Amino acid sequence: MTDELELLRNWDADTAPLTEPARAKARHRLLNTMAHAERHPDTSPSRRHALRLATAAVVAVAVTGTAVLMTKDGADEGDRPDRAGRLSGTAAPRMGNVGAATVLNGAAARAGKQEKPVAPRDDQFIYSKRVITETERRTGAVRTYKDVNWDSVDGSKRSLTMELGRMIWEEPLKKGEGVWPPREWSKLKKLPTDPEKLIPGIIGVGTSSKPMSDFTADDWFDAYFMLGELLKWPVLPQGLRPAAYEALALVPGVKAILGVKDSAGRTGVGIAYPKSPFGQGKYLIFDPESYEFLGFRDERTSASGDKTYIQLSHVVDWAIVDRLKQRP
Amino acid sequence: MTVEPGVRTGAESDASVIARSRDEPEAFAVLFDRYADAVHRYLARRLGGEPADDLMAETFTTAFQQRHRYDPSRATGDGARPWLFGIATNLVGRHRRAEARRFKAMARIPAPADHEEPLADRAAARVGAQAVRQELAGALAVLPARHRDVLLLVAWGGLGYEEVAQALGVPIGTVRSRLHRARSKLREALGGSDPTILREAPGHD
Repeated sequence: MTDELELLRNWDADTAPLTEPARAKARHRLLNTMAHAERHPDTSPSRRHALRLATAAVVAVAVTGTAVLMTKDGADEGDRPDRAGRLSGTAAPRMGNVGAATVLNGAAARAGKQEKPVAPRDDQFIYSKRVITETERRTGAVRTYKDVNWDSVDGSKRSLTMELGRMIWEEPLKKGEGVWPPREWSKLKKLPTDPEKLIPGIIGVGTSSKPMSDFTADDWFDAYFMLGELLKWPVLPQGLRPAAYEALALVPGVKAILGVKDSAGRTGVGIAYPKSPFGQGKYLIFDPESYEFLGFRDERTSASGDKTYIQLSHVVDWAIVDRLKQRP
Repeated sequence: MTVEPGVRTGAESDASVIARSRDEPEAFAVLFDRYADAVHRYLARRLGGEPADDLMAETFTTAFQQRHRYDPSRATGDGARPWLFGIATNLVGRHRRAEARRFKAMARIPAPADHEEPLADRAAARVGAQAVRQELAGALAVLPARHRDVLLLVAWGGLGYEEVAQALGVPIGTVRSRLHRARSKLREALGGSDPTILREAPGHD
């Protein structure tokens, strides 16, 4: 017998389902809120820690199709001068007519010519030295850090890393834990060096077989993020770095920003993804003529949430070594 | 949303996602994808599509901002559903009058015709269902807000008694008594102990 509760349950009250534009708008609102959130104050901010967690998040994001985030209305807002101003923080760069694809393909050609074959063993470490110039947005105060890191090649050993001058021991990866990019050389070697195959190969953490023609906005953001993280890794198998640059050029929404500065004060072209709240204020910097890769720009907020810093960083040295604390 | 079949095996629990989002805000988007449709549907049935679009978004931004206060030990199971529906219900609270007006209007006017169905079906078979809808809407419009919240969290939110208690922050006994009263009012409005036996459709009042 039907009771009143069941009648109520079966009545949809003339409800239309959630539309895709409304879903995208709501998600955009949430992601904007997230993008401006403080990290938990109990947690010491750690780039390495964040990377590992963020990587786990991206994995979750990728497999659940969560990522981001754009409304049709907002699709072109990257071109607006006010948004560009916010992106840059310091100077007033312009979103340029210099195509992002030209810069990225140029960088790919250059990287292809310059790379040398390497093959670290799983029991070795990758030593890298990163220079970070940090400018506090409000006061303009500048500090420079030289962080050195020894990362276990396959993640099975403790790694020693540095976060703005502070030493941090990283415990080995636990079973089922992973990072992007993968540490094991064998896994990196399996990534396609054809850019059109690399993109479908990395979204969904390699579990997706979706062709690029079927990509949603979320899939493209995943691709952009995963490629950016891959490019941050100092050592990649031959052919992978040029492929990642070329793949980045295939991502719709990637833009060139003119007149940005690198950590050495040189003027370069930024390659950004202004559509995403996660991508705001972050970009890769290239020499506008030679397309040499000059470094990354990022932003961080202090644990108390009241200070914002603009970070310019680049790797000045790297090597494959046998032991922790061994320098080349 | 695209979810690759089989990929989300061993999916992370809601409690774990919320805990992780304290250090890693972007993780919270996972909850959005899990519950956006359900929360929206609940809100849309209470307030209509357009306000629901807005309040669904507000539910998640509010939940995100309050994520530090989420206590999985007080949750039934590890699901965030009661917590999110509690937030959504609180937001509905700001629109009580609009909700009552909407139900009153539905009690008076016939539901919009379903254009995908043949005309003959609409004309005949739907008359009974439509009368029930009008009765239900009329009863909902005059229920005290706190009774309506409990009733609709159960009927439209799909929550159990304990989950409703958690969502509203009231004892489970209160949930039971409010639900009992709300159901009685509904039964009355539907014309007696067997609501499948319908009264004549009410005249306009």
